[in-house]
Amino acid sequence: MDAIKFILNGKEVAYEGSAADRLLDVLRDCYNCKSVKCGCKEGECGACSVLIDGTLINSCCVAMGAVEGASILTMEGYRETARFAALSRAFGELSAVQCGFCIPGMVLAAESVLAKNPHPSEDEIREGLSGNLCRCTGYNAIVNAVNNAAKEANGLW
Amino acid sequence: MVNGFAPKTLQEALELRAAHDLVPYAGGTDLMVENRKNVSYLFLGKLPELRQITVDENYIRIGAAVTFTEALASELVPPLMKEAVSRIAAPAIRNAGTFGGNLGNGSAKADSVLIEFAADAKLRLVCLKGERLVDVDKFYLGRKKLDLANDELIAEILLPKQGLEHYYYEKVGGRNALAISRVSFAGVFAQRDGRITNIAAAFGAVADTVLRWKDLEQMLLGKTVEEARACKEAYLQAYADRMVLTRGRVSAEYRKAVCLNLLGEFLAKFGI
Amino acid sequence: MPLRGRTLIENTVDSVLDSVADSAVVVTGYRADEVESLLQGHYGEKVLLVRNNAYAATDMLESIRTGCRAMPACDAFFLLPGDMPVIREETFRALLARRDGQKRIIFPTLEGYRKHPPLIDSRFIPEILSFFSEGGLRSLWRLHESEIIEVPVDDAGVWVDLDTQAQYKQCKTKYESEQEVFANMEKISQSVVKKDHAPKIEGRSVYVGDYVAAKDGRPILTGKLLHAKVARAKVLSVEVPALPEGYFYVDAKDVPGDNNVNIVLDDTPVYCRETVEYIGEPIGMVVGPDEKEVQRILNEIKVEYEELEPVLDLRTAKQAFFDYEFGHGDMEKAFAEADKVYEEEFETGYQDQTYLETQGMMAEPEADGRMFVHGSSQCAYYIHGAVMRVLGCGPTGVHVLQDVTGGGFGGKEAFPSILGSQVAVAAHKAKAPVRCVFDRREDLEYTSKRHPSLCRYKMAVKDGRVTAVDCDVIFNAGAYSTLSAVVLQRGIIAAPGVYNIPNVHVRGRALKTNTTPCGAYRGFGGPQTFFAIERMMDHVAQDLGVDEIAFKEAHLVKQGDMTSTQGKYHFPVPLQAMIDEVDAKCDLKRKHEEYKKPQTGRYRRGMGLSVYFHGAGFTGSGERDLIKAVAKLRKYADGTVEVLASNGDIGQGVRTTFPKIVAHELNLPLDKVYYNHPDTARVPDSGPTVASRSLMVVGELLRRAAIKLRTIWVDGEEQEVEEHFKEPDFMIPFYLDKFQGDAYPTYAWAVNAIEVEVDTCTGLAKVLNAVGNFDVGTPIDYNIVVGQMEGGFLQGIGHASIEKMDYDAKGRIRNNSFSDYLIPTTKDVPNLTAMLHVEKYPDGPYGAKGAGEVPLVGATSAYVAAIEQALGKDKHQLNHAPFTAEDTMKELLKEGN
Repeated sequence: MDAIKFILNGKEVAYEGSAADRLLDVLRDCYNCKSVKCGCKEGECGACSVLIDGTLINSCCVAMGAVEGASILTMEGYRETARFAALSRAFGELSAVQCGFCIPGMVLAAESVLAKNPHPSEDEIREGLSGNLCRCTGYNAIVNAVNNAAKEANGLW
Repeated sequence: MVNGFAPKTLQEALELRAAHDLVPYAGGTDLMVENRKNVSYLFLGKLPELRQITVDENYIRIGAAVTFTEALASELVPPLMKEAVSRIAAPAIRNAGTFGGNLGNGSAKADSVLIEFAADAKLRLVCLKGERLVDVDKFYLGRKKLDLANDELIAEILLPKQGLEHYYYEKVGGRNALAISRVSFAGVFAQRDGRITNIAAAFGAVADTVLRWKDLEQMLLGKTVEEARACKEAYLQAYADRMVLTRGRVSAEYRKAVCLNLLGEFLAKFGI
Repeated sequence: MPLRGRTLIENTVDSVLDSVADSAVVVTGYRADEVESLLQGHYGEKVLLVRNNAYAATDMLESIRTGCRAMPACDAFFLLPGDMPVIREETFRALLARRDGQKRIIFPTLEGYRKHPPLIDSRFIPEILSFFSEGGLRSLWRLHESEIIEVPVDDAGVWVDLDTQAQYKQCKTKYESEQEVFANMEKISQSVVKKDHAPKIEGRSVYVGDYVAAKDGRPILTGKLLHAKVARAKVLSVEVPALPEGYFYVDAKDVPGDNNVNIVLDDTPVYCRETVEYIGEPIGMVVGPDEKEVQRILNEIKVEYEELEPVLDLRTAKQAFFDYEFGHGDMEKAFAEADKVYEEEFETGYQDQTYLETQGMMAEPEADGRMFVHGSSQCAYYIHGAVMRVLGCGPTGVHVLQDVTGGGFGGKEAFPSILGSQVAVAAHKAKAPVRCVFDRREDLEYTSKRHPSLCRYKMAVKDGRVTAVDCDVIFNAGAYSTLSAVVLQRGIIAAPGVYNIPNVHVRGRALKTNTTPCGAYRGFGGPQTFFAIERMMDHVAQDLGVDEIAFKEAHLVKQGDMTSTQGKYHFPVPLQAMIDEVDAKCDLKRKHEEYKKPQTGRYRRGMGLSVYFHGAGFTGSGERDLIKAVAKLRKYADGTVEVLASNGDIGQGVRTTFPKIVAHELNLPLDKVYYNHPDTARVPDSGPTVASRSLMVVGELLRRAAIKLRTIWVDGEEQEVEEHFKEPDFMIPFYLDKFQGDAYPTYAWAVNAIEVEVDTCTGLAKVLNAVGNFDVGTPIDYNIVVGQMEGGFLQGIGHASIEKMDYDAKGRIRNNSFSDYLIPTTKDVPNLTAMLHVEKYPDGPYGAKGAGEVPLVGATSAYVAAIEQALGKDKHQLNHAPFTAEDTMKELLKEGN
């Protein structure tokens, strides 16, 4: 049987396990991507969000067979980018991170918003982050941080 | 791969489907929540034949593996469908979820399926022996029961090219995003020469399948708006009498009250 | 009087010049020289200055005439008083757009009232100049009624004229941006980047589920709990399949010490005794290296039950874990003499904390024989005490570390003591590290949550004032008592609300039912009783025919008044000012008045208010008698300082705010002071991370410790200082047996206003505006405190509206997944504002008081009040929460709509 080949944070990898395994579990257990958090395992919280070929996806709702040939970016890869630095700065300035559990997924959702629309309105930001639950912040600081990052981005997105 | 097949073409997929006991997998957003044990998947998400949105003389044809996000970006998909699809869950789910999956999951809560009922959509089902077109309301046999043979796949959804311009749509969810429909309603209205030619009313998430009663629609077809207004009460009463709804996350009484209110709003929007 | 960094008159002039006008004529009077020189310097020729020297003796019309005389040639002009600084550009434009060549007077209107600034055609100038009649210009316009056009505008700015200091202050709060507030705040309040920001946002923080191996490198065994499937039964047998090597089944027989978890009482077993008392009660745990195999074994275990009749209905439940009673005054007399007596019943439902990281604990037997327990938790020393008892060892036999914790909100106050004990027993048996992390369904169904409540209130009213209140408070405790005693205490102490009611009687009971034990959740009993008293006050006001807000205002307690427990409000009570600030922010009173009018359309609006407190810190003498907090600072030779305390950062920011206080006192850069997650092997017991106490109590200990360290500081040496809690001198001693004395040293105060729009077709309600004004004393970090307020307030709105959880006829919680238990998303309350009102507390660090809980407490009553108003108070009296779309529809159906 052929392994499932895909690119993880820029590196080619081959997964030998079952095609029915859950991407979330595989990322955490086999590739040590612990930034990918499990909040519910049913696509209802966004803590396990990753970017697959640039698209925001809940990794709990993906079976390994579906990622054959795909390029997956988790926070482990994204945190090396200038875009991440801009978002991190903006989140930090507004203390938008409280318990932090939703945050890696939230930041990837923010990346997904800005990649499509570098100058989003507040409503567009709220729509873009609407699949990522945060129980701590009430969302204002997060939404404002994404807005600030967009304003100060200088063409990053 | 182990426990799964990722065919490159539809033909290959149909062969695999016929030869093995496989669960068709498009976007995964429902299947992975079900978390079936000891299952083998047939991965359809990348099949080019299922990933297109095209238009022909009579129909807008949406491939079964087209995602909701892709439909929202398409100029071909009618506004009614877009409105419903835009209310599904949240971006990450819309990025993965597909039209075929929404149908195949068999739920009456499926937001795109409601529109297909209201729009008299047809489904193109394919297997190695050939293909057939089935009306969406015939496709649903009951709760989670579909007219889909073990060797068949859903290939396309065919929405009529014309006639969906005038509509009324509401989704009642538990919150403003990440919400499964608790009641959903889609109405399509058309008139010609002052006479009502279409008054489709479909109710989602309130019973085992999406509900639509074409015989009740007859009450208003062919009438002028004024005439329709005159028998509005009887029409609403007929729906009230017909509706035997199930309870779910909300009570059957609530569902019925909302359905009837929205039906009334639909009529009112078009002057009835 | 500055606003937005400029004088009021500059604001006013800017508003016209920036939008529509070419030039402005400004008529000055009082302090004319100053005003003129300021405007001349700023605007030059764009402003024409004229003076009404007789300003003190003449009316406004004379000033208008002065201006008209100086008016350069123009077609029309706006008449704008100098103290209306915040009119929007759109308003000016809307008026201009209505000019139609007919030379008219065009008035903006709001809610039907004509307001400034009218746009007046210049042909009226001669008439104004020659008009000398009583009643000012208004009587002139009366002669020209047919030439007046009214333009409705959506601009609250047309209401804002700043005749008084109070109006000025309100306006300032509303129109100044946060940055400007920030620039004026104390240094300690200024925000810093949080200490744990980088590791958290980079995804490097290690939560308990993220460890790949134990501390000593050994692999971690997975533990999964065997949960009871029936609500009440004798467990006759547990049949465990043959276990592969390396797999274990653990239950009560394996507990080396006492099979009771120490919480308040010790009735909660580690693993069940002969009976199970609720669905989900842990019977045992399967432990082993492979998670799937553990799951398989678990599925194959057969439990034989002898079912017993469970108690599920709170109304018929009899067994009281706790039954308290207190009061003062003469109830009998007050009720006998009352003009009218009101009775009402109120209910609130479960609320789940829904921290994004589920419960998870891990235990590692160490080489030296100690048990190392760590995980997602709030109170390291609570777990320490519990595990000691369960393992039957002394204090040095165990140490407990708080891992990075993905939210707590009270849910990780007591529960980790239970789970921590369970994994400790498992690790003891397996002689290997064991970790148990709950999945979401387990967490929603089987972990502690907010107590459902049933409150029966009776109120006596004489001469329009409330003279007595009798509160019967019942909390559904669930199957074991856990924290119900203290939750109930806080709830009943708050039962009469923030009102001065001379005669009070309160009874409170926590009743046992065969359901998941309830426990701590942010607010801790307060949301239940404040819901009851706030709704009761609304309903009594309505019956008396007086405005609900005015009725509440007339009864507010003030400094020096007696508390419900015959203690004293020692410090100023800023509630009236806070209501005024909220009013300025969201037009609370005008809208509340407006929405009283009958509404008949599909969409109907309401505005609700709640006024409340949250007692800061532990109830009663707990801090003095039980906790006796100790905190330390250790200075190292390199000049860095470590905070040693046991309060866990669960997102609320103590890893940042504690060092901030210390750095401030030592005048060190913040990066020289640090606070790690507490390990009981290293830190003293500064108490649990609960009751909004950490910053106020432990923060103050650290401030004092830092001062001590400053005085003995020697460069290059390792030094340590220690501080112990001391009760403030002013406290009236509290006696729990009588519920008498100061239950709290001080209070966080709050005012919530929530505006909703109800869709009568679907029952759905949209929150148009949610404004919370919170006095938590000095914010130790502005962003952190605002973040707490916003987050807590949204949780409260969730509890009020969509967070419905209930159990079925068998006692099973049905809302056990994220698609069935809904918490707010980014899109549910986009218009949520938290304001801070600062009333400093002298015994808290720099004036800080308890903050964490207060934002959640009042949302339910404000929200339900708003829904009630939207539906029409004459027809609907709403008295339960959450109030869902379905509840709204039920009300509408009653109406026969």
